[in-house]
Amino acid sequence: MDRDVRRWLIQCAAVLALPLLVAHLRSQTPPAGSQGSASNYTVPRTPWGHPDFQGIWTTDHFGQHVDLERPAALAGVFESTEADADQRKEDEANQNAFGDKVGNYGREWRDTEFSRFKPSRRTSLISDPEDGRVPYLPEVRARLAANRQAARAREASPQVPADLPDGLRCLRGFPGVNLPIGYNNNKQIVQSPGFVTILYEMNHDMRVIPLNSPPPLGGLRQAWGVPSGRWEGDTLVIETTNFSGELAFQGARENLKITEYFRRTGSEELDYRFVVEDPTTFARPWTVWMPWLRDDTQYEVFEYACHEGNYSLTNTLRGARFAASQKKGGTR
Amino acid sequence: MSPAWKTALIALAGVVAGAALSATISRPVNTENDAASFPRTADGRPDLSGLWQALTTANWNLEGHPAQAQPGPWLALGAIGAIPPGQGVVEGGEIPYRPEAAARRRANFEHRLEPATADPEAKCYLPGVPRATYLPFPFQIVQGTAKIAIAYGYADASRTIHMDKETRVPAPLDFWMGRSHGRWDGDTLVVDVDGLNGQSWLDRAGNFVSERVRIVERYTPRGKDHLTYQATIEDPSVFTRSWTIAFPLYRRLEQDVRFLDFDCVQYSEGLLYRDFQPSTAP
Repeated sequence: MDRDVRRWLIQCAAVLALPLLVAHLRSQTPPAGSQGSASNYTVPRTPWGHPDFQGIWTTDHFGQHVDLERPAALAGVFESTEADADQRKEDEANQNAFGDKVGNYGREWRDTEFSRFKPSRRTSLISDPEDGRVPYLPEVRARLAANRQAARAREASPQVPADLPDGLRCLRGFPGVNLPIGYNNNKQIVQSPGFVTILYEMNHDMRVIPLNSPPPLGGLRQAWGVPSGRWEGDTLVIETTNFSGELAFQGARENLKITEYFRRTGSEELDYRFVVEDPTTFARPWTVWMPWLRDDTQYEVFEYACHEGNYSLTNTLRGARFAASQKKGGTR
Repeated sequence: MSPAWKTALIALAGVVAGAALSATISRPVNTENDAASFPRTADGRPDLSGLWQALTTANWNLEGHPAQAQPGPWLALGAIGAIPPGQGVVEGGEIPYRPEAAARRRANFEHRLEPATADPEAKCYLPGVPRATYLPFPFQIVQGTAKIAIAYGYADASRTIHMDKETRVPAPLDFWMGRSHGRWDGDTLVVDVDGLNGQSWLDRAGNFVSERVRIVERYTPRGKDHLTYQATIEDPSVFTRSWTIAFPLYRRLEQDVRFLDFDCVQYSEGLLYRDFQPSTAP
């Protein structure tokens, strides 16, 4: 592909969605703090007696600098020093998906610049296994790497929108999991006696979780699975199964099961972790631990209307058609 | 007249009167009294939490309309592509457009099958208020203590109704779904909606509003499993006066009925990017 055309394509993509691409290409983030979990903390209750999680929460503190998996360079380190965490955040803010500064969002764009929370010192979102790595079955990691390579080849010369990453198409993130990225990491919880809703600002995704409902019938499968919630003491447990397999989370599809645990551990902190299971993809269950921090004193959840303003996808496809016509030596 | 004829006539009159009576009796089934059976929250307010759905043809056209064929790609769908008839949900029957706005409504309809000018529903754009309410999808209300959340079946749209603001907070930006402040008027939830961006349509017929629109919605319990929904629409740049739509909302009662995802972005791409894909470019 012609160099200028390629640069132009990259810039087009950057206009809207480069951070989404960044998020897509990296296996993502978050993190940390167990600050302020006073043991004498009394969990607030709704008028009907359930633990009250309502309000706005964020995982900004994991921003983009804490990956799902621990980088090799940080092997053996669960939490780094504050200075190292600051440096990782700084490095992250200065590079784009292509490893340079061209076509990147400005630093000012990112929530990490505004967040009132200190960057987490965690070095991976995965807390179990201890090495902070996804425990893939031996053959799976190689298969995923090959898939990723093939995907990048399609991205370089997209024929149809599906050749581009989900993030660039403004498709929803994976439910519940909702790993933090560079911005819009906010969530709002609203509860009633029979339901919990979680509104994820990225990407205006409101989950409806019925409480104590019977398990979903086998005939109902959805791309994002079918959630069922229940209270175990003061812990909200959400089990999501019945994935259609249309989307993958870390390589897992139909056989995926995600179990999330929410527990208030302080006035400003909601302990959040989820366990991922799929015996056809992973050698054992693994756990992501990323406490949410309360953020409703300064913030309201905004409407993240990504698809409605997605000029980038039109321009990227138009650019690819133009590049193809140039290659053939034709004019437009 | 023979007595036999007289008897027959009296009997006939009785049947007619009975039918008329039963018609008038069956009408006010939805009286305030039935609302007593509506679920309540701990503080005695109606609890709107549940899965609701409108059963109207309003998404085809808010106004009354006959059955009608549709051109172009719809023809390939056979009878599925036809517009079903509907009585309309506009009080008084007609939307009071300003003349130039009525022309735009017609243009919206005529150009609804072209990528750039298509009905925002076909583009899988967020549907705005009040259209989200009568799209042919259920929606889930979850009534919290400070906020009421509504998740709509179409396009993963949602709203937060702020019940905890002493005074209305101006919309910081225009949103597709606007900004909603709620309050109780007796058993009626009243929601003031502004901050809409004016890019949504009201239906597939091209009815529309501008970014200056303000909407007042009223959700009134009528029976254990149904509400009356009313929305008054005020937009002086498009209409000569404010106007109101009204219809029932029904609770979905199937066993273990669930709110389901319809993330339609992927289904809109064939239309939106039609001209930039080698496989579908004209």
